Amino acid sequence: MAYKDLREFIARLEEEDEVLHITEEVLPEPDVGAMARATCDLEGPALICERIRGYQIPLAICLHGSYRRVALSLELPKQTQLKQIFEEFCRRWDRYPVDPVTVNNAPCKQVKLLGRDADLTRLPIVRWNMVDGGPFIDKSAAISRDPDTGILNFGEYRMQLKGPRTLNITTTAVHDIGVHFHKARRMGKPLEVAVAIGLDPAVMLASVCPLPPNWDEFKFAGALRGEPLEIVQAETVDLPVPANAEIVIEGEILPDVVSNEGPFGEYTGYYSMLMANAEIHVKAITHRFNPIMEGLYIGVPMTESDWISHIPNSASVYKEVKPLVPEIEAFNLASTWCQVGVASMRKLFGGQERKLMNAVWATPLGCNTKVLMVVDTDIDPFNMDKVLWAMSTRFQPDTDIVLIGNTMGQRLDPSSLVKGLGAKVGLDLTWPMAPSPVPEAIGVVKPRPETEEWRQRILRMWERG
Amino acid sequence: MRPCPRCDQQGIEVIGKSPVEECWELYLCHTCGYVWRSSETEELLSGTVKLGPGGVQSILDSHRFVMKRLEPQQ
Repeated sequence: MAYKDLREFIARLEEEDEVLHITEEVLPEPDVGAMARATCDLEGPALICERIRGYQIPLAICLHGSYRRVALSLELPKQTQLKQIFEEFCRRWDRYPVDPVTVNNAPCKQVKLLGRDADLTRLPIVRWNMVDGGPFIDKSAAISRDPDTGILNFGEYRMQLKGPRTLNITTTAVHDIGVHFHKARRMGKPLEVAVAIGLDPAVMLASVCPLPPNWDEFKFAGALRGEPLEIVQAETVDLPVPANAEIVIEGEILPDVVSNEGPFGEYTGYYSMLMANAEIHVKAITHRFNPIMEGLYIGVPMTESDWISHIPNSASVYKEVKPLVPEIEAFNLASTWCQVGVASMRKLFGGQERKLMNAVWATPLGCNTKVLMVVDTDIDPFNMDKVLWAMSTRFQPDTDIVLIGNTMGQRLDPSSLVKGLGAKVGLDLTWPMAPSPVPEAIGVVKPRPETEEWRQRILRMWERG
Repeated sequence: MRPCPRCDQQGIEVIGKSPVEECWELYLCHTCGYVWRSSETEELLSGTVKLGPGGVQSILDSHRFVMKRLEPQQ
């Protein structure tokens, strides 16, 4: 049965000995970032900072900070193997769409702060890593609506605190919210947004999962949960928000206001660049009584960012590729290595593995996969020991490598000399196999002897009209 | 008030004070956008990458370039 909210998930983590309550007073900086780094290194428990100096609201971190807790977030036993989590995620993907239900009595509206009463500096927003340009919100569902189609989207985007009612947000057009923003901007209109924080853990998995174009994350969240997501209308913007969120920030991104944002320690383990980015101007904050803020530590892998995104990213590429290459069996977009993927396939003929590589590289997310390995279906692509065994015994470097230069690449890849461009390598680790057999030639298909006579007759008839 | 730890410019705004009184203030630099807290010591801030006025301008120029590319084609 799905978790109703973040609090039910925390209760489950307590039962499973997967959460530690830090009751001593800690500093926003450096303590929160340092303890988050430490528990990621340990693959240790989630942490709830009950008393952060200067704040009244507690901060929960690393709730998805291990594969154990990713499994628990889908109500699976915490020792579930990665491939089984992947398969369960894909089964739930197939339930799409599960429509949300609107409720009247929403916990996220227990306290309403409008206008100047809405003050972001009351929320425990911290600087996670030393060179970050400021404190960041980095675990949320930012909700927006496509100005053309009306289709809703929510996703996880970093947001830098810039004032009591101001946040920076990245609006690159590769993200749905960026597409929405640029459409609204061309219309000369602000884009309304709502940022929901402290969600049921399956909704957070939906928030980080890249979905096919025009899929609605609210309906996908229902599919992942196995139950409709409860929503309520926001106070000051025309958007629905998860009714059981701990905190909701409402506002709008103005079309032509930018300011400097970043750097930010990113999932690659390196800092993003300092950029001019758009601003959210906040109109309201609503929250539950005694709300719990949530944050995510990100940096050199492994961090919560890797654990929470690994299965959603892998499933997203797999589901895009499957209709094109039905032989694909599983896909591991191993975010630990950022741009490395492993696909397993039921190969029937030689050459199919290269078709699979091209299909992966053609997907919106797989186009960032710099190193792509293909293995047979007897190899678990999530088990790197087995993948290396396949590399040792089924792979010849002179014949089984595909190399493509100057392709679209991940802008955050610090090794690319031209940002946004990079090379791809495909490693065929499958058992060598003959191509699809061609029937033995039995000669050229020659015209019948009567064809010439018919040609002349047709020409005569055609000329007579 | 001290200048910005990142770009050494003046023009700093207090954007917030701790909800529990007098623990810290939050500052915003209007030149480069850096945000820091008064409880962050000089040692904590010493790792900040320095940014001169030329660096700030190059960011804004880069943004204008991207926005122009995103304008609808005539």
